[in-house]
Amino acid sequence: MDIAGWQSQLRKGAAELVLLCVLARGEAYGVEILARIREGGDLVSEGTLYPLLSRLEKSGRIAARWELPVEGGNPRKYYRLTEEGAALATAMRAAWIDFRTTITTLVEDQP
Amino acid sequence: MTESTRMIADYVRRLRWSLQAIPSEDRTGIVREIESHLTDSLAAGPDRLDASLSALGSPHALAARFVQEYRLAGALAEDRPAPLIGAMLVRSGRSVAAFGAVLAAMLLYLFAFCFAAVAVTKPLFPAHVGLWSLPQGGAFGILTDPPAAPEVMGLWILPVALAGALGCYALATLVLRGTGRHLLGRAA
Repeated sequence: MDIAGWQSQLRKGAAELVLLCVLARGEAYGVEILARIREGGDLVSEGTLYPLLSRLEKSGRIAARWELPVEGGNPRKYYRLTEEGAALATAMRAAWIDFRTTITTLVEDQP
Repeated sequence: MTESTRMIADYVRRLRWSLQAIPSEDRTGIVREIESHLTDSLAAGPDRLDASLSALGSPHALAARFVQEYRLAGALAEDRPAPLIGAMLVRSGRSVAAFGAVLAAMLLYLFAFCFAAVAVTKPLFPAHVGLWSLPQGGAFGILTDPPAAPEVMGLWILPVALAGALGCYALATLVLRGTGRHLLGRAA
């Protein structure tokens, strides 16, 4: 039985919610965002993170600014939630909790 | 330049090249961010860089994911033919379908241009523009030396030429968009 495809769909669906919730904890750049996500498991890789960030930025859910270190180090792009993004994160979190309750009842509470 | 920094430079160059479909100011930002990410990875060790490169996937696959997300955000102007032709030309070296689509679209745009030219010149040079029925076949278009045979369409050539121009233009754009969506969305 191959459930890898189905699992990747599940991950894809959850990635946006996870990303918004992680950014709700405060401004961060790519590597920091990945580290925060990895605290909870390996849900989003760098290959999906950056394209997803670009979409959320384009659609106005997150905003970004570049920071150039004084020491001449690596430039970093910091992301934060916009008002719209924060509202969306709250709404998605509530929808997720509803969804989880339903699924738990249907799938996990089997005798 | 060490082996690792050359790997980063190479990856970044190929990524920039694969991101043709993205508007250029955004493209610069994306490429800079990925370059910064890889440089940070390298600073954490060569193993970390290898892991990052394999997690990002090939430059082409990563670019396809960016294009897909941009499309989801509705941030790609799919109606503008010029960027689409550019994006497809980049792929036409590797894909017969892209090459064929670009060729067909170019021909159709050329037809559209000719029809439009007929419609524009008819009111200016009515004697030189039209459709002539000749013993060896017909002649249609703009002729500097029109044949003595009677011109058969008269002013009807205006709506016909305009419809031809619009039809060819729409068809060409349709071909580009259809093939483009198929090709650019696929590699994800």
